Amino acid sequence: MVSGGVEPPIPGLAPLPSLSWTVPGLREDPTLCLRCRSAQLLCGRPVCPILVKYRAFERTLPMVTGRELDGSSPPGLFVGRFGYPSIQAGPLLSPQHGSTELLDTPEEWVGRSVEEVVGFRTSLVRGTSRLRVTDAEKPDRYLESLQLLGLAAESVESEVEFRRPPRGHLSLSESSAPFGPSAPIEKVRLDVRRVDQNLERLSSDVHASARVAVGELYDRGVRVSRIQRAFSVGTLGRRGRRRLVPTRWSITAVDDLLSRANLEQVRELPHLGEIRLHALTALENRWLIVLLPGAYRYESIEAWYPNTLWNPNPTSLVLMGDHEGYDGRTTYASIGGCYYAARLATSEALLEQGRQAGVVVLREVHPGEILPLGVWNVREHVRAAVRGPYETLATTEELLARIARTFEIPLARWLKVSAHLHEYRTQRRLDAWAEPAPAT
Amino acid sequence: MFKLRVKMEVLRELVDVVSTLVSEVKLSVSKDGLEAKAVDPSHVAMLVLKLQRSVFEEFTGEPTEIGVDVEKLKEVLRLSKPGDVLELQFDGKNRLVASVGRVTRQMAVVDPAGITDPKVPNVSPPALVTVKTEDVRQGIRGSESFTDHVTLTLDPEAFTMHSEGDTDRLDLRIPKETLARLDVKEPVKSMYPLDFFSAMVKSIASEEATLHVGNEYPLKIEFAMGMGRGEGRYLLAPRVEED
Repeated sequence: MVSGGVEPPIPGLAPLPSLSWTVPGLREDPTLCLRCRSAQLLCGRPVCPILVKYRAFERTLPMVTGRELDGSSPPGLFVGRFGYPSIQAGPLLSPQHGSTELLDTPEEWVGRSVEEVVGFRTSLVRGTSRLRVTDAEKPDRYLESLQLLGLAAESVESEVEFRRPPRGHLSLSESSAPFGPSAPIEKVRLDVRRVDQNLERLSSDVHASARVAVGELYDRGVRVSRIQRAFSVGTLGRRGRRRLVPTRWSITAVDDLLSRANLEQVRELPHLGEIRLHALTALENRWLIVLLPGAYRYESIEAWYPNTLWNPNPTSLVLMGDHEGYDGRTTYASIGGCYYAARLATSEALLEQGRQAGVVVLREVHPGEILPLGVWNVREHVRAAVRGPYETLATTEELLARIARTFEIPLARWLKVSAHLHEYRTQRRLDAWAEPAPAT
Repeated sequence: MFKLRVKMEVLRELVDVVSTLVSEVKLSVSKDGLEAKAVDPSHVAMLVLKLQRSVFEEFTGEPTEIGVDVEKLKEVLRLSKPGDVLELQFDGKNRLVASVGRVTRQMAVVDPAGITDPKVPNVSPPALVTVKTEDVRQGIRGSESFTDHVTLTLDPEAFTMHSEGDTDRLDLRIPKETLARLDVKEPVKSMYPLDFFSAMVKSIASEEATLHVGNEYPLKIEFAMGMGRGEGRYLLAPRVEED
């Protein structure tokens, strides 16, 4: 079945040894790492053993020598979550001059390889400075310039003096894209020439709640990654309620707010009357997005091969999913940020197609995926999948056959996990007993 | 345009039943009383209810249809205490005014044209049983931790409800002797989604309800409302075994 060995994501590096069973508790509960994704340290270790493994990539980082860095910011910034509400926040900086926008625009990364994306990111140095999240209300000069950077419309020329030469490792997290070494900032000059008019307007609107502001920016066509950046640096929301929001949390907060608003509209649309299917393969992931007839409901399921990033288990597959009904959900989804990212992407598809439907997102993660690239990977690839044409399937049997054909993992495993596929196959609708409509 | 005065308990029964399936409902007021029909968004469950005009302390006005946000009626109920009589006045256009004691609460109504008018299928399951709702509730309480569906079986000897999870199972068997009514010619058996069945049974204020069951056939639950001067009916589509 599954071939052993893992391809190195960066050419020239030896494949990493399997982590196998070194994570405490994983043997008893194979979903442990999937549920945690380094966020909660459910295994009880002081640092995530999986992320530690990838410290090996440090060697590949271009060394930024010296305490000064002259270059530009894409624009980009990062707000850490450790120590909340006292956190580290600062700009992401590239030694290149000119436009470096691509380095922090996940919307443009679809179709690129893992190596390319990692390459973009490793050239970014993260400057840090300790701030309190409530400082967003009364920013000092440093935070003020960081907030302005969050509103910038183009790459920003920058000059930075660090307290010590940047060092450290490739920083990885499940939600945000990776980035390179970091160092505390002594002095920074960010030359913001042009700010995004929409971001600027909502930033100066101190009466609009963050929800309203985020929704308005989205309706005006501002990219989700830009909205999220402005959100995390505390430039949106009512006066008195603005906060710095850790990047990891802000990504999911924005995905959640936007998809909720979209789904309000989706629930007003007519029901889809057929089965539709979107498919995509990208970055070692196979995707099927199934639209089922009837009212809105949503489910997202991930299947991880052995020896993939969040399934360090050497032999067994792990499938995990979460779902919501017509009315949505109030608790945090067990599979985390990807749930909301895919919900945003699919809510856009429902609006585009003018139908409400049952959405089931199936994702098969193949052994090549060993670096966490961030939630953008889910959002943008599901977007890419649903932007493409759909296939219409006549029967449930055809749908099941199609799922079986697309994935390596046996159909029965998917069906066992999927609440909505199960419901669709077994639950009858009252329409089946309604009087036949009079011929017109 | 209408003006109703109604006991808090009666309005609560209505709200409990309606909110089981929908968040907005169309209420039809006629000279005979008040009626509502609704279907849940997934078309798995439906409700029909009627309250005779004699349930109301006062019932005046012209035949009207009005769309109501159920959550707002719940808010009005929260302002009242047991034994209170509430007054509901509709101006015929866009405003519903509820009065409880010294409080009056005005609310916007929903355009009834925007609320789905369900076509109630004409189902007539072959067997029926009248059960104490509390008995069924007990079976539901015992099942909710391990399953999402229940199977109802009626045979000439007894009514049985059973539910099964991967490793767990619950059986509730009520023999004919202790049932108020059991009409079964041939044994029948159907499976239903537990979430709907549970919400429906829990919403019923009456001590007894009649379950009409067939083979892989919609369930019909009939129950009294408004101290016997009204009736409610639920329909619930079955689940079928996987192939």
